[in-house]
Amino acid sequence: MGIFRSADMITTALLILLGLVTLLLWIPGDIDTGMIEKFRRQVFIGDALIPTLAAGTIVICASVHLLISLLRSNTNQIEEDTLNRESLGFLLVVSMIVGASLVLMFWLGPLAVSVFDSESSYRTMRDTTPYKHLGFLVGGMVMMAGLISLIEGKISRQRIIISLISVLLLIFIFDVPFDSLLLPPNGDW
Amino acid sequence: MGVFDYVWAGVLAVFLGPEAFNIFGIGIPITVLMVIAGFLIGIVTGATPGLSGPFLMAVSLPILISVFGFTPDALLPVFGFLVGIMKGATVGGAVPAILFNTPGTPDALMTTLDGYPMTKRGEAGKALRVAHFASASGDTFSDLVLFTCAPFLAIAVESYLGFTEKAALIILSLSFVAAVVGASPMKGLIAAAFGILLASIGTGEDNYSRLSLGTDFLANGIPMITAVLGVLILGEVFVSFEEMWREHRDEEAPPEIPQSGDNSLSFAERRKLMPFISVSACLGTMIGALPGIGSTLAATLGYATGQKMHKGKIPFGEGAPEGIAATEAANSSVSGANLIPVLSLGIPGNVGAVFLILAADSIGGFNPGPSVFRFTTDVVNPELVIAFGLFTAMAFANLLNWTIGARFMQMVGVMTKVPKSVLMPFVLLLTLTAVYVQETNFNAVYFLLLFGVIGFLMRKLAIPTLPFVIAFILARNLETTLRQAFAVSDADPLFLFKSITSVAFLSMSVFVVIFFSRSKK
Repeated sequence: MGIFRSADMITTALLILLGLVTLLLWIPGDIDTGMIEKFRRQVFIGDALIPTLAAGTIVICASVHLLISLLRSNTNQIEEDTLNRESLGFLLVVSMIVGASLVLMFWLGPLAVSVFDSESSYRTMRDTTPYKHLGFLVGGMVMMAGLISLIEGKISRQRIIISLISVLLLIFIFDVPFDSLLLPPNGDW
Repeated sequence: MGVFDYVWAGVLAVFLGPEAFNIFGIGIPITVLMVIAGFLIGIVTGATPGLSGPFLMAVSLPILISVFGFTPDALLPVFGFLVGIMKGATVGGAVPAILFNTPGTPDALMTTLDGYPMTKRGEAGKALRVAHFASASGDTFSDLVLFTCAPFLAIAVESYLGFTEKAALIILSLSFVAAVVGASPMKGLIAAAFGILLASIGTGEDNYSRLSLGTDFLANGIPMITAVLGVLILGEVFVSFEEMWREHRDEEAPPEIPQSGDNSLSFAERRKLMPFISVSACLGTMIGALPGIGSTLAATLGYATGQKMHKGKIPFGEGAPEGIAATEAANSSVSGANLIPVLSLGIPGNVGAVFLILAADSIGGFNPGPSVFRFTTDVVNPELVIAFGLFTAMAFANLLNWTIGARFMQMVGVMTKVPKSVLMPFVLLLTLTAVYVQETNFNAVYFLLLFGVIGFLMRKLAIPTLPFVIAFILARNLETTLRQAFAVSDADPLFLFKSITSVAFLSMSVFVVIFFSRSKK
């Protein structure tokens, strides 16, 4: 069995499982009204109808697709383009780079305030340069430089400088002209 | 107000609307300025491999809303900018296809077949002129069809279709998109159902936010912009990351070829191209009017039809100007017609239309759909004025295309030199920032990245993303219409099968799924 075919069948089986779990556990346990509701002798559609129909469609279509896949012997999908361990590994590395840069983006500003201006909180300083840009600048730069290095397979000073310029450009586009816009993570504080 | 009063009011809303600034006492209307800006930026975006018109529409939306606010006055400048991008990107996509054998947008792939051989012969200038002439002609034709058809279709829908039929029509549209996009209709239907399921999280009429697992994170539902941008933009970005990572090298821009051949395009040559342009424009317009079928198919069909019609010396694929004309007229004529289902039915048929709906949804005061075209005589229907204002902006963008488009598109070839390995991470950060700026909450970033991963997985497993996005957008509308239809039927459980039109729509839904399942064996 080809890589695409096995990935496709595993996904389809997972989708059937997701549909069944949604139908049998999630919807009954997490929606207070049924598919059809009666209130003061009025009958109306309840909140459960649409999710039930959607989950039912997933189960039916995924089952039909699985059946068709079992009956058909081959697919036209290019094997390298499909989901395999290498792809999932790559996605994991990308997630780690993005995750680390988001942590920096979120916490660096508050951390800097607590170290250099312990009298104030980040909330009061979130509109003050350099604190308001610090997290976005460093986190954004790490994200861009990290991803470029991963893609190109090497770390270069030129790319780090390009990353810095790109983040400064975004600050210039979103923050400098607009008082009402908040760069990440300033809206959360 | 009569029909022509509405049309005129729409024209005036664009040209005599709020001023951006004065030059020698003459006010420059903001909508006009935004159309120009959108058009020029759109050409640059289209000419940059890896970027696309819909992407730029998506990331510019939060900035536009910040500049113009949430008032009805914001609608026309924002729509003008987005329409300008749509048109500019279509034209711009041909530039790298012709100059460097690299399509700027997927629908310009067929343009490379004849465009690049012409460049190698030293006739890049002529090829660009052919592409521009065909693109502008196709686009203009498509817009004219939109201007004339959308109001009539909307009036017919509003007059003859009740809640039941409208619900059945939404089901038909979703089935159609699910069936025609991608390799397997079943996967399309799974994607659409998944979109509806996720869209129903945190919504509903009960006090408890359904399917929220009792968490605050899901209680307010999933922001539409995160689902749409995540699946459409970030999913694509992650896939391109992986492709580049596999190659482990930067894509070097191909060398420029000196141009010394015939680079003019005479009137007689233009006339010879007209049959190819006309046929492709009709094909592209018909395809564009159907939800879900994109400009890539239009370009392929236009090229294939042109190839059958062609009897010239240079065969298609070896640098025939007719090949470029057939492709560019077909893919450009999709953009205008794509707005027919949006404006007349409220159903977005493609990615560009999705972002127009997102803009309308974010700003408020304009709900694309049949109710827009209510020609009320006693009270002014402001939505109708906006609709005609949108048509005026499109016509103005066409005018720009005819006048400055060709000159500008010859200047943007340099964009191909931007390394994709730098551009794509920038796109990720830009999308993330744009979403945060609009939602001002880190949860939106988490949703965005989650949907990016979903988009990545869908692409890797050949599950089409467009049915997911369109279903996510239409889910609320579908549920409301079903509730209304059920209520007016006095709670008849068979309410969807009580009208012939509704039964016809539902039968067609089943038919398209079966038909496309069979034909794709």
